[in-house]
Amino acid sequence: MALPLRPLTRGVASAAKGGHGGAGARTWRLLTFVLALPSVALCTFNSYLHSGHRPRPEFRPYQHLRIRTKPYPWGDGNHTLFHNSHVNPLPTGYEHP
Amino acid sequence: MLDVEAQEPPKGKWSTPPFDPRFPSQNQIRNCYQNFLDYHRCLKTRTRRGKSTQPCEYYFRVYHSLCPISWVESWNEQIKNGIFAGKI
Repeated sequence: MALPLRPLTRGVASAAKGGHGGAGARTWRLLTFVLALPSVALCTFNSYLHSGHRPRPEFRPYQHLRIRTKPYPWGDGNHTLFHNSHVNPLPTGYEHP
Repeated sequence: MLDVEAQEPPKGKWSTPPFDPRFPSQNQIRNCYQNFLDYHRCLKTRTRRGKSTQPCEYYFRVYHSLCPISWVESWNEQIKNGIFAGKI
């Protein structure tokens, strides 16, 4: 990883804006409120727009998926650790109709 | 079309599959699988266009020479049940 070391030795915080202040708290506070938090808000809004229930894929008992050569050490041995019965089928199919 | 029982081996003398430069090494698994896929894709396209499937026999012969019979049987079973993982 041959990172260029010369820009890092400069004291100026050359972030996306290339602002002049030093590496002071004022600069970073400004960036937080002007750049970071609006970006978080935009991304939140974007995920809200893309949310909502969508039709789950039809189940096909493919042999290369949902392999059970040995039962899982937890529960009934058939459910994965973060099993979500709405979207994760068991080897035999979905649990809910 | 993809009905396995309807496939009969073609007539005539067939020698061993020729050298395929796409698979030059000793491991010919990919060669077997590729020809299996090519045979079924050939069948599908030709029957969709209503043409004779005679040119597809070459792929049939090659994969029958190269592939283990158990593999061919299990793949055909998967195709029949709609769970074959390859793109045909």
